[in-house]
Amino acid sequence: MDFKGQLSIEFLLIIGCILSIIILVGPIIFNEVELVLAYSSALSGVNEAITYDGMGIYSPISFDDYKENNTLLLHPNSIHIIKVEKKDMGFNTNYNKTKIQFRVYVSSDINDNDKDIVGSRINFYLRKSIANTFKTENISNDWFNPSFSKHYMYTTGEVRWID
Amino acid sequence: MKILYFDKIVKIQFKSIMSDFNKFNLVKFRYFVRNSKNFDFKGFFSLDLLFSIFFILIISSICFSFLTTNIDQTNNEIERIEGRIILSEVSNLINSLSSNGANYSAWYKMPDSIAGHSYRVVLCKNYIYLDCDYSKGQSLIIPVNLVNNYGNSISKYYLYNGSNYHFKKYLNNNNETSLKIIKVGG
Repeated sequence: MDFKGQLSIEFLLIIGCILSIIILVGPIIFNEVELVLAYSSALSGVNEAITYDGMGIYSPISFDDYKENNTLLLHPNSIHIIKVEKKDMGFNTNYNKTKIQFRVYVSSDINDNDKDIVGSRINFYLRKSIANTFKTENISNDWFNPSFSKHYMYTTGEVRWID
Repeated sequence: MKILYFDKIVKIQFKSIMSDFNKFNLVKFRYFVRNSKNFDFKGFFSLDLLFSIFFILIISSICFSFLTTNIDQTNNEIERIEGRIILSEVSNLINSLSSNGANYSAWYKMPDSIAGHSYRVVLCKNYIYLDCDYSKGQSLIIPVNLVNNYGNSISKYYLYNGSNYHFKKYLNNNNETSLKIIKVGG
């Protein structure tokens, strides 16, 4: 007989406590993880949009559209992210999910006519990134507005331009 | 707290141990295992390792979709950046030719692909544009008079991926500077 292959009572108590805590606070932790993932995805989407607009390289449809009306967007631009805010808008009974609104603050020297387009693109890529992360593209519309995760739905406020 | 292990899992020569095991009773089994020449301490799994693997798997599964989305986005961004770099290089080359006198020439090798996609660059009189599978972009250039191999003016010239081109500026019969581009390989 030796002392190996046995579990001490202290260890069993610790495991028991950890399991109890996980069961009690698990749902809260998973909801928070979901929100953190959504926020990270939102940042990633904003970054993607700004890279595209900064490079002035677009999808063929967007390119042809901007070539007619917004030629300045076809040249490289400098756009900086100031911050991305997340706001809890309460429980939405239609979708049965909590509504979260993201608002992006950016700074750039592009002209006012083009700011609306760039802002829309930033919001679009933000929502698209969230939908891709949670694999909910099929339950959202073409503009991913709103986009969804398991417990939340995400919308975007108008982009604020800081001079 | 005592060091904790699951019961020893013997991975070696199981048959040999089982034949020896018949000589002993169950109470003496562990003693036998510890002192058996056939037994070593390799192939052990500590409880800590199992818990660590379990938590790593949970965290990985949560982050997996986020990571794949990020990788896709990065690939798309690389495509756009490479496209812009090619446009800048070609437009800079043409502008440098325009800034120099007649008979000035330069060679340019078009990159093989943009993030694995084929593409072409279209030269027009005062701008060039990139035409890739999923992306388009343009860059302005100093206006040039494009001519073909026979010296006739043309409105567009196509540069394809992976090809070598010779850009040459020369004076035509009307004493006007023109840009002739010749595909030299690729």
